[in-house]
Amino acid sequence: MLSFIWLSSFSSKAQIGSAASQVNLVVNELMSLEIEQSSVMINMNLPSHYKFGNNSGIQQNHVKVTATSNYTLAVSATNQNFTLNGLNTNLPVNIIKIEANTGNLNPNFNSGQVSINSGVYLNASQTNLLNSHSSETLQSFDVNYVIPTSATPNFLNIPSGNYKTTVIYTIIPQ
Amino acid sequence: MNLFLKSLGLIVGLFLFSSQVFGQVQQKDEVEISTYIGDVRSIKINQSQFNVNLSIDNLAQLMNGQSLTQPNHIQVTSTSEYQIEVVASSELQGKTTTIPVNTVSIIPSLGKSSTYGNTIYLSPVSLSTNEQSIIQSFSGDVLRTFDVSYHISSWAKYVNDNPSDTYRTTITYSIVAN
Repeated sequence: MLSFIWLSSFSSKAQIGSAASQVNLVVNELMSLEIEQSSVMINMNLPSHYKFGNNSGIQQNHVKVTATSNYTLAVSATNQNFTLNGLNTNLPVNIIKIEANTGNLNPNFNSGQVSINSGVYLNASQTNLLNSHSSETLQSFDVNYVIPTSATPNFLNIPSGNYKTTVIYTIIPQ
Repeated sequence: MNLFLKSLGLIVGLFLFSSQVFGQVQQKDEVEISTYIGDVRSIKINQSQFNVNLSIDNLAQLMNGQSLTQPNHIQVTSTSEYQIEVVASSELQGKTTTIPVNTVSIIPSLGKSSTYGNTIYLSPVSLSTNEQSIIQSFSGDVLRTFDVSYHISSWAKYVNDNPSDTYRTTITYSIVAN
């Protein structure tokens, strides 16, 4: 389509002996977010998990952001408590600590241009995990979901099973 | 005028439509976190206390018995309420004779490395080759230790029939659900 217009323009102007062309590049503010691993598991089925806590292991490039401006990445859970077999439980989601670091998807992405909040615990209300003021469009973050030792008493005296929650990441332009 | 408004409406409509198209980027995504909670019950004997030696070296010890306390002897992790049972593998075996194992008492008490409080019943027992409950907890424990005192009652009545020897048995502690 573009080449057709260019050709017709050339043929009509060629007789005059000059040609002018204006190219307008429209850049819209672009912001998108993708989660690389859609489900993450933390086991609590060994004595050591209770003595020392446990974690999901580092989820490489877990959050992939495409951004053309500064932004804040916020995190929240759909409920204040975990569910078991679809039913609400008394196990709070704020026992999960979220540890983020810059990922390696883009080697030019400099961790110095990101301020990451440490000590962020999952919550039903949105919590700011990090602020990015990088000029790189493609940015990624590794995330480790951690159950600290101090939280393990929460897992006592409750039925065994798969406790679930949904975590939502949101980017907010700055 | 109407035509102008219609045109304006169309233009605004097109603008909104195009901005929706350009603005249609994903700014949210989600991940499901699962934590699998298993039924965990673990019991461990303090590694430096695998051998418990009580010796009777004088008349007072022979007549009154002898005691030895092993601090933080048993270490427990349990996600829910539990009991600890004890059993001896045999009577106290010497080279040629035996002494009843029920002359040895097991007296549990709370150890130091206990994470937090809950209701626990402690029951001293005389050892037997049948399992007996010595500790009952009505709550789980991330990490709790128990001291155990081993007590030999007077062996005065065995002294005539049993030579000087080492008399042994193996004691097994187990953790079970209440």
